[in-house]
Amino acid sequence: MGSVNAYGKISKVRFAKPSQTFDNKKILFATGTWDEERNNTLMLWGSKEIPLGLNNNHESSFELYPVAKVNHKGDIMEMRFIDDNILLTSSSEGYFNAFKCLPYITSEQEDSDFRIENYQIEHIIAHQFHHFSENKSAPATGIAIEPNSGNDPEIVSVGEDGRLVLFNLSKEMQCQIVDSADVSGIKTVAWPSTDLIITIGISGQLKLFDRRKPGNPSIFYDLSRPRDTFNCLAVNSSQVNQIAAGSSEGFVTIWDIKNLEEPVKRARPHDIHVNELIFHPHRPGFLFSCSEDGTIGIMDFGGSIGGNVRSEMYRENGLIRRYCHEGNDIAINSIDYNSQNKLLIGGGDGRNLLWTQFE
Amino acid sequence: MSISNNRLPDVPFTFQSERSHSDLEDFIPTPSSPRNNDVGVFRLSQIIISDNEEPFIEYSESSDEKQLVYLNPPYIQENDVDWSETNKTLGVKFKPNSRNNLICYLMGKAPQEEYEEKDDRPDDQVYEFSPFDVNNNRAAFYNESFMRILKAVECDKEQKNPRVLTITNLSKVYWDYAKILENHVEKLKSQGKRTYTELNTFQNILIIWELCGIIYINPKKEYHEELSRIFQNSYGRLSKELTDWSNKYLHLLDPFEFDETNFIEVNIQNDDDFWRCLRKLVLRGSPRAIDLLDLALNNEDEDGFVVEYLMQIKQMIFSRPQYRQKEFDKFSNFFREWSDKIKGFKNELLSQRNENFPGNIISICDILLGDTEFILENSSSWIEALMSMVISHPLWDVQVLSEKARECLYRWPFNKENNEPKTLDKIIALFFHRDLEQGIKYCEDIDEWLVAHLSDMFKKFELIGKIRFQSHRHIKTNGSTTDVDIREFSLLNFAESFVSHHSLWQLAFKYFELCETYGKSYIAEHIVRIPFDNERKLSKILNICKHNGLDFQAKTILRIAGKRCLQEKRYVSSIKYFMDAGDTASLEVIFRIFLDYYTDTGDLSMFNQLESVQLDESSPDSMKFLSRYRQFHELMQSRFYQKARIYIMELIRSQIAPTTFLPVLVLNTLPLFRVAQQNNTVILTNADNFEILRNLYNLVHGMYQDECVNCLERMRSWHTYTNGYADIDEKLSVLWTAVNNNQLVVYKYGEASSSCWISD
Repeated sequence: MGSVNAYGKISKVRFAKPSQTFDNKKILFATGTWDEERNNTLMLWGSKEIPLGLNNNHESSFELYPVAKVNHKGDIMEMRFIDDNILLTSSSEGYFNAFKCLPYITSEQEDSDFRIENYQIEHIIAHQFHHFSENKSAPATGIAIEPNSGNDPEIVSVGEDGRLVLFNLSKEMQCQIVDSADVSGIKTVAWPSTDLIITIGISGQLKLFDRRKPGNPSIFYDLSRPRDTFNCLAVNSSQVNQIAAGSSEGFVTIWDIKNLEEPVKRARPHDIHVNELIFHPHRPGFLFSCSEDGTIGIMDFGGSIGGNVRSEMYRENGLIRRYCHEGNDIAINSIDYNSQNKLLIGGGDGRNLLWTQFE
Repeated sequence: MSISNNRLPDVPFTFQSERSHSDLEDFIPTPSSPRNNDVGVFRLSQIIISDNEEPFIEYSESSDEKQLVYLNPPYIQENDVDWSETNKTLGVKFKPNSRNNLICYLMGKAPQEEYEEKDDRPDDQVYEFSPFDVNNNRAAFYNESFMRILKAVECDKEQKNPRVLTITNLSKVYWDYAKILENHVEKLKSQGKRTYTELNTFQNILIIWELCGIIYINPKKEYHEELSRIFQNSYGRLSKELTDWSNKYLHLLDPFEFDETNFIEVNIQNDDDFWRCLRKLVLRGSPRAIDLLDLALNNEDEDGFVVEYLMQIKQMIFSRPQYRQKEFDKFSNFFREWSDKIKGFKNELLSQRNENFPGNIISICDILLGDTEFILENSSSWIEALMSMVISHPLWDVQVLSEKARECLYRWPFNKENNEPKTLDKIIALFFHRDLEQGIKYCEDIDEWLVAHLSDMFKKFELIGKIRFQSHRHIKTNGSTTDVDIREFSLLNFAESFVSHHSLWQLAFKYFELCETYGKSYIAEHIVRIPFDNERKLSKILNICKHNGLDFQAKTILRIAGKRCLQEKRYVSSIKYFMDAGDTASLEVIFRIFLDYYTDTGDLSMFNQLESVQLDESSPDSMKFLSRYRQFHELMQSRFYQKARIYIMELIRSQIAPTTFLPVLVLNTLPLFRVAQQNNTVILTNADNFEILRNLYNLVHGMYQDECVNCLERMRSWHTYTNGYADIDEKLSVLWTAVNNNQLVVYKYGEASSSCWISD
């Protein structure tokens, strides 16, 4: 695993949409920091593959370098790219933000650490959707974007105040607010299909909101582990009925949203807190996870999901692999995968960006 | 005014009036501030943190030093305390910790005159903040070096490995540290003047680190490797490595600058400056001596014999034998031959008549031959003299080195007036003396990172152990000494400074985890002081507790989180936190809030929040009660009357609800009587009747009369016909009648006559 200084404790890493980059060897991604008091930053990075022969390892290698940086008010709690170079963030101070990542011509290089390559980040929208009371903001914790939508997709923002706010970027002032979507507060949100929105509350339960059926959302949790609480969600973009949830005790469960009685598969890639999960975009049943234990897990649920297989079997069959950088046990908070360059990146509390290649 | 660091006075205050800023009360958040609610901002305008012989807080009215300290999370005023109507005060206590950080405690306290000093037990909100900052470069360095310490731990843990392998691996880790230090120094150099102080610190760290590696770590590795290879001579390594070290760093320790252009057209025979400069360069083993000789040799005006002598000197310096491993015998012979050559050359010169010129060349020969007396005479510092001797005596071992260091220091004693040594000089001398413990102690003045990591490596190489350790900084203030593990002491000391850092706090706990004896107690002491303002940070703090088996601390933190949610009226979150904390007393408070709310408003919406609370058998009774009560109303709405009866009677009999809520529960049975009457059936049994009657009697005529009157008064506000409710007094009398009627029905039809239309 490679490692570079990330200039702060990383809360989120996200690759830009492939269409944003002109050169397919060059990838753009963004990182957001947390817990840096008044110095939280949003950074845009470039990544370039070093051709074979130019490095000593006889393996392809990448160079990661920051290209633009902007201050961010509050911790970055969630971050999503949408088309047209727009980067959305949730802030611990209750704000939903949108930034435009623009190429530009002049490149005055003030800081020798930064190889500014014609990018700048422009803060275009800031709206405080989340607050506990009139005077006290609540952390905005998650953003999800309506799947398969057009140029102006609907966006949902959630927060620890338990609010779920639906809006379009073009008219963010006209929003639909579900005030007590989860009275315990919401940790994260996923939007698997146009009518279904799933949240995880601070109480650790999954809640499914069906927009076709107004009323109480359905609540579900892993009945075999009722004390374990969920932390993160991932939607399988190739199978919209399939979602994955990571738990506080290191479990990853796969659910079929048509039948939420119990998870269809379960594995335990980590010993503690799973911080983030992502599905491999092209390999069915492949999942990446990162955890508070400082490792990145790769799970192979064997393609088609069905039948219950015990987690121990997964371990025995070697279907879980764990990546670790030099014995690192400092939390990895976020991961993302770029299938174009087969590049997996992770960032966390160790103030470094970790990267590796994965087919 | 100065205040002892041991104990700061408690500073009580109220929000009633502004106070004079004439004392430490300046800590008090002023109610007149524009952000009146944001009392979490404290103005420390008159506070200076002093770092003299002992840390103390100094008050100076005229000081220009201003610092705003933001409490993170911001202070939240308790809603249930009206400070203006009580003589109770909100206590603020600032206490410096061992790292000169301030710990701030906020707590509700009795009036000052009644207040007695209690333990520093964490109360509602505890803040710690550091007046110092760590720049991003350093933070990245700390994280990188932490990886090395983990590697060292891993090497040390691998007990199966033979010691030789462990030592080899540890040695690799030691030199890995040197690499990251070197990279960091290079990075700082590239950042120019703004990092000058930082660069200086890290250069000093690197100098000490490499020196200790040469004197202590490499011989250890060598010793073990020699054992494994039976025996192989490696004399000469020390001199070679120290020569390299000297070439890298001597210019920093004892700067010597000269301008080569001064010697372009010099008359070598008579120019004292040239010879002084050449002597210095040869003393220092500097390759620039050759350059200077080349410069002189290019001067065509010189006499032929002068050129010849200079060529010979150059040849001698150039051909100085360099140590090569595994060639000891060859090296030894070669070195002897080289020395003999110089001696011969020197004798030849001694016979020359020209006193000045050959005299200068002879002095060069004396240096090359390692003439101790001559070197001591001609050096400007002890380190220059020692390095010169080391270069000239490639076969010295560490023991000789230590003796020679002593000799040099005797010539340049530190205690001599006007010769106060620089800290770095002193530390290097101590390490040459093989006084490791003292050396480590003085490293405190360079950087705590060095102390911690050097002692960690020394311990792993079994170079240090437990000693009677006392920080030289605290000698004047604290006379006591104790036997401590120097490694653990240093690591804890180093890591403790991160606890109050807004971003590096996690690293502190990672370091504490590496300390077997006191690590856990340090974690336990500090973890409850980490501020959190969102769920993510809270969860990370709790993970640290969980990882270290600190159940009590986890519960304390959960209680703080629960209280905060309660203040913000986020009842479900506070229930979750209090349940995880096992804080039944606080749950009881929420329980009463829910019951009071219903009594006052008749609104059940609050109870709907309980849907998100997962309950099981082991959950507290108060929460089970609330959940059951909500279910009772749901069952009534869904017309599942039999089950609703079971639930309401269970709630009445449980006696969990306070007596103030008993009238509500009893009146909740009335709809069941009505349904039974309308449908000419029996829902409530004889036993239920008896229970309700007993409670009714107690409420109306018995021991709960006051509570009943009170409760009915509160319910009266929403018992209006417009709301669809009968008058509350009327309701009570109707209930009397309903119970009596029901008794008759039960008597007449028996209890088994529950009709089948009630579909439970």
